[in-house]
Amino acid sequence: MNRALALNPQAVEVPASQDALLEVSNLTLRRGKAVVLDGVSLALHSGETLGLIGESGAGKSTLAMALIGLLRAPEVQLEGSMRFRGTELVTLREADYRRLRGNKIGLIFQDATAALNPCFTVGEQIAEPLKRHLGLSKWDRRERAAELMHSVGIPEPALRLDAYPHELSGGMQQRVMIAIALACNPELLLADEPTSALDVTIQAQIMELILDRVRALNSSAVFVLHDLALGAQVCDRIAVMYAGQIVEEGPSERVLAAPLHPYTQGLKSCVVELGSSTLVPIPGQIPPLNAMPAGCRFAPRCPRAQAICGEQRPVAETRDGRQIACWFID
Amino acid sequence: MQDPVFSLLDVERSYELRGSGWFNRSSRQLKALDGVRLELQRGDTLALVGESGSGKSTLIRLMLGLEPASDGRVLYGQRDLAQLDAAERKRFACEVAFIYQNARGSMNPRMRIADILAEPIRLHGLCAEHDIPARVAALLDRVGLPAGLLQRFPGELSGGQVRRVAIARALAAEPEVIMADESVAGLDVSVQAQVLNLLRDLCRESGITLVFITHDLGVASYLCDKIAVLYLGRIVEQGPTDAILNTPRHPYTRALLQAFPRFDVPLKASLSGEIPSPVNLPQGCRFAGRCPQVQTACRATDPSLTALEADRQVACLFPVTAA
Repeated sequence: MNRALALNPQAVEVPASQDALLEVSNLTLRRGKAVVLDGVSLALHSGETLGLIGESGAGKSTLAMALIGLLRAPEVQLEGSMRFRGTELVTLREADYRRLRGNKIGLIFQDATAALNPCFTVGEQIAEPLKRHLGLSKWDRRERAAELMHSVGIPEPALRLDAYPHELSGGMQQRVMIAIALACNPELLLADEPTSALDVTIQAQIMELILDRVRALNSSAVFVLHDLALGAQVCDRIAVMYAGQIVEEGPSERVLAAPLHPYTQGLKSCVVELGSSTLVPIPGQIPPLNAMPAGCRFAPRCPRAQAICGEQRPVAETRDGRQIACWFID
Repeated sequence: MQDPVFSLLDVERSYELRGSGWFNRSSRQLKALDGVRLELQRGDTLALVGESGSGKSTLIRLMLGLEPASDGRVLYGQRDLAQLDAAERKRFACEVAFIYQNARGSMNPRMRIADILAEPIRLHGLCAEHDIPARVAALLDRVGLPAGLLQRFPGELSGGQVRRVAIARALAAEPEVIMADESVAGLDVSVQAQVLNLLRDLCRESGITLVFITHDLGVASYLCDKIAVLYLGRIVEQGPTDAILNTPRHPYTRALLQAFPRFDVPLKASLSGEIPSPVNLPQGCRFAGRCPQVQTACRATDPSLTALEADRQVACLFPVTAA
C-alpha cells in the first residue's frame, strides 16, 4: 500500500523550492580531526515524516542530536547550515535554542528508562515543559499532564501521574517520553530509535501512536531507525546514511522497494523477512572515523567499485525522484 | 524413532515473593513457567518465541540445569537433570553449550581471546596441552574470524566479533546441543545476517541441535525448523516453522506475525495492552485479557496444549481456522 501518499497527498510532489520546515544543507560535523557528518543535505516539509536509516556508526543519531542542539561547539565543530522555519540553528545562541527544544522541537530518546529522571514522578516530568515553555499554573499543568497521558494511551492517568518511572513497564515509560515530547505541540518531532528496546507488539502500538499524534498535530517527524521494513511503513521519505554521508534519499516506497545505491541494496538483502531463505551480508564494516577512504566512503565494501570510486567522492545526482551519491548507478 | 535429547514433562517454575514490611509477611507466587511439555529430537532446531516476560529465558535456564524445576521433570536423554551426579554433570556441561545473551558480559575482560577459547578445551581435557593452540586457531577460523584476534581482549572487538567469539567458545567442547539466548539481538542488519548465516551453516554441517531464543519471528524462521510460541509461562503453539508462519492457529501467534514489520504490509497494532504480571495470573486462558476473539468460555477454562495435526499443537479453545 502506498502509505506515504495516503498519509499526505503532497508528500512526493512538493517542489524543493517551497519553504521547508527544516532545511539542512551541506552540514559537516567534526569532532577534533574526525569528520563525523560529511556534507549532509536534506529538506523536510510540514506534515512529512523522514526516516534516517543505516548501520551503527553511520551518523544517524549524531545528526538527530546536532539538529536538536545537543551536539554543539565547542564539543564539536559544525559547518554548513540547518534552518528550522528559516531560523539558522548552527549559530543559534543556547538561550534561544532552549526556547525551541522541548517546545517547537520535541525529542524521543531511544532508552526511556535512562532518559526519564528516576527521582521525579512522571507527572512532574511531563509538566516540566508545560511550565517552562507555556507558563501554565500548577493546577493546569497537572490537568494537562493527565490529558497528555491519556492521549498517549496510558490507562488511569490520574493515578499514574504520581508514579515514578520504575513503577512503569518499558512500553509505558516510552509512552511517557512521547507525552513529554508532544507536551507543547511541537512542529518537529525527533525520535531516535523509539521502539528498538520494545517487543514487536508494543513497537506496533508505539509507532501507531506516534504517527497518530504527529498527524493530529500536523507536525513533521524525523525517525532514526535501523529496521528497514519499519521505515517503509512509517516514513514518507527515507535518507540512507553511511559513514556520515547520505547516500540515497527519496520517497520511502521508491528507495526501499527498488533501491539504486549499492549500499541500500546491500542493506535490503540483509533484512530478515518472514520466511526469507537467503541473507546476503555486506562484507566488511564501516571504516573507523580516522581512516575514511578518500573517495566514496562505501567503495571498500562495494561490489560495483572501480578505480574512480577510490579517488573521487561521488556527487549526489537526481534519478527517479531521489538523490543518489554513486558513480555507477544502475 | 530415536530417544529425544531433551524431554520436558509438565515443567513448572515458580518463585516465592515475600512481602517486604514487618506487617506484610504474606508471600505470593510468581509462576514463570507452568505446565511446559516439550520434546527435542537430535538435530532439531527449535526457536522459542514470545514477548519479554513470557518465560523463554527461564525455560532455557531449566534446560541447562542452572535452576531446578519447581515441579515436573527435565530429562536429558533418559536422565533427570536434577539427579545428575558430579561426573554426569560435567559430561552434560561438555555436551550442552550455552551462548549468553550478553556475549561481551559473558567473557572475562582480562583474558585474551585465545585463553577464552582454550578454557573449555582444557577444562574437559579434550586434547593434549600442546595441541590446544592449533585447535583454538581452527575454532576462530570456523567462525570466520582472522587469527590476528587471538591475542586481543574482548574489549577490543566489535559487537559482531564478540558474538562470533561466543559462538566459537560454545563450539570449543564440540557440543551436541547449543542453546542461545537472543544471540543476534541489537546487531546491525549486515552483522546480524553474518551471524545468522554462520549459525545456520554450523547447524546444517555438524547436525547440532539448536535451541534459540528470539523475539524476532523473522530470525526464528530463518534459523529454525520448529517454533514454540510462549505466553506467560505456557507454550501456546508449537509446530514446524512453515506451518506456524503460514497458518498460525493461536490468536497470539497471529498477532505476533501481524506486528512484525514488513515491506509490503502496513504496520498494524494487532494487540492492545501488555503482557500481564505473572504474579496474579488471570483465571481461564492467560491470553484472554488481550485476545481479539475472546469468548465467555475463555475466561473460565484454561485451555491445555492439544494436538491439532501430527506435529502441531495449540492451546486455545477456539483456534483460528486454517483458511
